[in-house]
Amino acid sequence: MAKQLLITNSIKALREAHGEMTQSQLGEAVGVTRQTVAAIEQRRYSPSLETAFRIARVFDVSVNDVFEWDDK
Amino acid sequence: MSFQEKSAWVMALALTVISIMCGWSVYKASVAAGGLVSPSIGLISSYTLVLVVIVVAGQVVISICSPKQASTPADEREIHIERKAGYTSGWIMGVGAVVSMSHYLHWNNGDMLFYMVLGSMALAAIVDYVYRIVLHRSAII
Repeated sequence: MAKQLLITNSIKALREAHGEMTQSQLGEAVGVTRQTVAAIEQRRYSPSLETAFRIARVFDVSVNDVFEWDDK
Repeated sequence: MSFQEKSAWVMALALTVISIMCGWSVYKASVAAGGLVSPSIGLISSYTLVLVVIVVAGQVVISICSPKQASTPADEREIHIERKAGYTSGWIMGVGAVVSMSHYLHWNNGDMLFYMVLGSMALAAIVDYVYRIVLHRSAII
């Protein structure tokens, strides 16, 4: 399995729960590219705090509901 | 593939092809002359012009293919990638310059100094864009 960052996220689940929102739509809403959204989902990139808050705002949840620290 | 990655592909390919062609021209001329030929402004400027034309044409083509992406500025991850690749290529340029100057101090060959610095610049630029591609595609940032 490819190396991943320690921060997990539930962006994919949240996208699916919000009317099958695409990565492109989410990227457009928060001001990043589709590739960056994909990298965040795959735990290959940790977004800035600002982008993390923007993502949480899109889904109307707190940052803690989107991102979590993975101790494993 | 993001616009930034496409752009990096264009730059990496153009720089690699032109660097090889330029290096081959200098090699052929040096073999024919029986020694290292002096740098020629005509040769360097003609290859620079060809590089500019290829790069501009390539950028225009990818911009036409994805106009929306082309007009969007680099996002935070892409800026991070550019900085990381730029840092690495800066080191390569620096090491290349030090090696070139050391060579000059030892051999006192100004022509070779020119080619070594030019080669370092080309290598640093190629590594910059290739590393960007690698970071865009797979690496953890």
